[in-house]
Amino acid sequence: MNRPKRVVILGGGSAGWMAAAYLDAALNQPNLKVADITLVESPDVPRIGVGEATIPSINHILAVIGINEVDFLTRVDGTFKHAIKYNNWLDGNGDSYYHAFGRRRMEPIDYSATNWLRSDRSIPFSETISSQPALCESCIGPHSLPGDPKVAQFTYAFHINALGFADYLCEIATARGVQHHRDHMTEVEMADDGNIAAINTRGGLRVEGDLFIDCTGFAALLIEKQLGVGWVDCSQWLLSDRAVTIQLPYEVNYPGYVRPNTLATAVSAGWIWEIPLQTRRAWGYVHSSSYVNADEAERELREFIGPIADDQAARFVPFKVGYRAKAWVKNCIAIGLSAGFIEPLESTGLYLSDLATVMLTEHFPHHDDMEPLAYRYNRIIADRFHEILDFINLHYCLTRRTDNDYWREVGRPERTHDRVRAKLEFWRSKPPSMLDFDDASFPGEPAIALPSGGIAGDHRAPVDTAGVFGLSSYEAILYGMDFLRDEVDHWYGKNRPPTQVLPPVAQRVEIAKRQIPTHDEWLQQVCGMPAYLKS
Amino acid sequence: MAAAYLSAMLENNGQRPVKISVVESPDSPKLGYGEATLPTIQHMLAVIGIDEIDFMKRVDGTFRQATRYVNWLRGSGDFFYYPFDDSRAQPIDRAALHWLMSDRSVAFAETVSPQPIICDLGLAPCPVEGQAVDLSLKYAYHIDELRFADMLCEIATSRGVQHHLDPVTGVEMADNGDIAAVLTQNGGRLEADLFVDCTGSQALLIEKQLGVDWVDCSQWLLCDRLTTMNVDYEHNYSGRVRPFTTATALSAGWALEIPLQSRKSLGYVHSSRYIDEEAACKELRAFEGRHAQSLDAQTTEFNVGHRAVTWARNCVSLGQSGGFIEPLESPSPLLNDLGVVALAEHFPFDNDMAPFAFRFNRVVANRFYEILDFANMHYCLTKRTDTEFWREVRKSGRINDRLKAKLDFWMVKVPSKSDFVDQRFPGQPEMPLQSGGLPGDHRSPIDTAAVFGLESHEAILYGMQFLADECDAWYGTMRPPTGVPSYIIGDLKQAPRILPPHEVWLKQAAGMPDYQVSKGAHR
Repeated sequence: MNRPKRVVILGGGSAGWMAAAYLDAALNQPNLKVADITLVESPDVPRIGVGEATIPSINHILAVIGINEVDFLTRVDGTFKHAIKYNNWLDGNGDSYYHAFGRRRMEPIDYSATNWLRSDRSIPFSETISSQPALCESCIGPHSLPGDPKVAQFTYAFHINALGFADYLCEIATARGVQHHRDHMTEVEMADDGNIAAINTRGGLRVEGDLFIDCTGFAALLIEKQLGVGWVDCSQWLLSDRAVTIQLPYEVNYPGYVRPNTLATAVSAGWIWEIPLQTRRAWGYVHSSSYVNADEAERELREFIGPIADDQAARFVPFKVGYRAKAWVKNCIAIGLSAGFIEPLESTGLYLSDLATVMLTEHFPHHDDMEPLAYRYNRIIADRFHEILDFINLHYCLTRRTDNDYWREVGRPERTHDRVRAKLEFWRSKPPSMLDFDDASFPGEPAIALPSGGIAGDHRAPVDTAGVFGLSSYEAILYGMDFLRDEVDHWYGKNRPPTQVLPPVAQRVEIAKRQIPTHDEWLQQVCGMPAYLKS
Repeated sequence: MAAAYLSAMLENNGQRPVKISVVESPDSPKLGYGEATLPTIQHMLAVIGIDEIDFMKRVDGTFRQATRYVNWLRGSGDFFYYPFDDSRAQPIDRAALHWLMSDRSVAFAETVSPQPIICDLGLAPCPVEGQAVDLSLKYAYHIDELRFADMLCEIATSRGVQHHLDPVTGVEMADNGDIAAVLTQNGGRLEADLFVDCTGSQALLIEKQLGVDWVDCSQWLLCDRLTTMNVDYEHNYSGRVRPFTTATALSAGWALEIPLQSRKSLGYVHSSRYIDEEAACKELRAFEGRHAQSLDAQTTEFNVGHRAVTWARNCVSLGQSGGFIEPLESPSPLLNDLGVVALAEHFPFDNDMAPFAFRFNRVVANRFYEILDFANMHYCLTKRTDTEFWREVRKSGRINDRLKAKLDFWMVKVPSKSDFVDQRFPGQPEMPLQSGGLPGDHRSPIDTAAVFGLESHEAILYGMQFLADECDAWYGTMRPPTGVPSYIIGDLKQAPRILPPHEVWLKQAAGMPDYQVSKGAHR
């Protein structure tokens, strides 16, 4: 039997601690130690809390680590997230739509999209197939109170305090034997074969490892500074490069509810998120610095929130959209911001770390030959990155807004990725359907090789296999953005019958409204959220 | 199938009116015998709206829960099951790892599914009435293919599909290269917007008329002929009806046993290069036993391959005219189902068919290669060297490059879930699809594991003792006994109480007659 591999994680943000806790839980079993994990975290470097909103994949991470949901919510100031509500993305005049995490499908064939397209569209698409938009409007979470009958198994995620999550995972991981050093790395020691041999710290530690995981954020101390792996810029398709954020404690102002969804409101040069936790709300204006300067952005954000937050400080977070040409090189794997970042529109910040961790577990080098593993790992991660990039790109390129330079720029053809364009064009002749998400190569799509193909033979364009955003997600955005509006007039005529909600959806809304308390009441009763007075 | 599914699907879809006609030659013998379906058939039945019991009564149907592979590894009585039902632990599945690290004293399939034992016990997958709440098993059917076609014909015509029993004598082309109409012997002229070529290997429209090529794939699957016999239960009945298909490797191919309600359909899939027709017949009779000596045998030839583009102009080829893979793993029903479902999804309501054809061809070709590789894998893991045929199939030229790349990779890392998204492995050459009829499609086929994913591969790989040597190196030779998860043991404890023997189910629910058990029946 092989000895356990020594895994050294550099960086202790949410990416680092998620990797530590998940790898330990997934690889090590009571009678079998596969990975000996050490995490080195600099006391000088402030953690970045990337992604306060999650997507449902987080549930897998929690389940594998063995985290109880209520404990989790209590520790991370967490709330539930049924959906994202998009405001003002289409025309900028009060329009809105939901991208809900769960939906109904008709069996054995789901006609709900065609039925909706054939109707007068008097009810938004998402509301015809999911109970979650209605529950969001009523601020109702996914669970009834303990002891009450369960209503349904909703698909949901969470809003969390990402720093709190890192602390919580640190506690769990170290209790299970992950070594933790709060010490600043000063030097990387290389082996003759080009692998990283060890890192040395200011405190005089020398940490040897078989595998090094770079979770040092955009600094990318190992993968870039040491191994020189390049960054592939993707800002051509997503213009935003900065966020300005403001937090407002409920002690200062409590609106009287906790939304079970994220709000994403399009504004003059980007969009503003609103994320509720148990003790505060947070806003962030994701914008393009080419179209709005820092002062203007802060002013616009403050105007959006209103005078209630005038005393709260604003914080600026610059970022870049792109990914590491190869996330795994030699014995070093970049996870988190060091590996790639896409702007937070669909809350994929934490997801990219989550995916990387799960993939590393599957491709864990139990034996010495890492190269084939790195090849597959890089391929999968790059595929998924491009899949998400395209999906976020889609949100922008369907806008009809032309109210300023920014939105006119977003509407220009070169801001729509060729892959997205090929899909949209195809879907103008046939609405999206299941098989479109099986090998997503469409007529007219150029085959552009991935820059991550360092290993001979990988000259293929990325393949979107809908690993995270499939038909349901595309339908939510496309039909939320009024896609095919003109085509359906032509296909089905202008006099179309009224839209109908799937009966089980309407039923579920009814039952949920009767049996599930409001989101804040549930959090107060189950997680001990304080009862704030409505301001 | 196409007529019934399309009429049901497009009618419910309520889009724009679609009128379907089926033109069938009254004297064309429909190729058909006992056929093993896959669970995808359930979707077809549900959409067409066919009740299971009616279906089984009409098509001489029985349940199929697994394939039992016999003699594939060494030819010394070795066997393994590939069950349809496979349940894994959540949130992390370590079934394969646990098995590989154990002494392998229990077969892999038995650690992930109760079905191998349920098959050994000869039980039906469900009670006579209703479904077992605590024990719900995935299954498909064995059916009489001709009777199924008759049943579908009845349903489709009652729903408005026009049926012309009238041989096609000519095809009329339009100026733009599309097919305009087909002409029939009785003077009929059927105009249409879309023509579906279901003429089998004749490929009357797609090949004879439109000249679309056939891409031969016999390099990887050597079998090209099938000898069949029917063992009527009147003539010989063992007293049991197996709830699974049996595939037994023989000297130059393998024997297929498909039990129906009235008979067993028996076939020898073989390579004409390694055995002649008479010898194949003799070997099959010897395999079946003394009672098979007097049975009639029929031999048909087939080509493994696919149409370069299955959808060209306004003509879509479904069934054998579009592609064929030898019957291991039931590819024909699968390719038919897929083709029909894909056509329904890409139905050209408007005039511009080219983008639909592009996607359709791409998806169908991907799936074809996925199935081809999976069937190929059964052969190339054999350790048999007893005949020229088995020595040949092991040669490296007989293993597809894609499959070779996968197997190499899996000797470094055991197969896991993400190997089945974007299946591209180190060392795999870039070979464009020959189906790239439209500009821009020069990519290798992409296996998206739509049909055969991780669980299917594990069943075959570990059934064929893949990684046996590697495990000794990785985990040592002194390994603990294989454990069976408690939920499988729980299922097996319940099974004999809840599930009747297969033939009891068939007699009570589907009206199978009581046959006299033959003397000396050995199985």
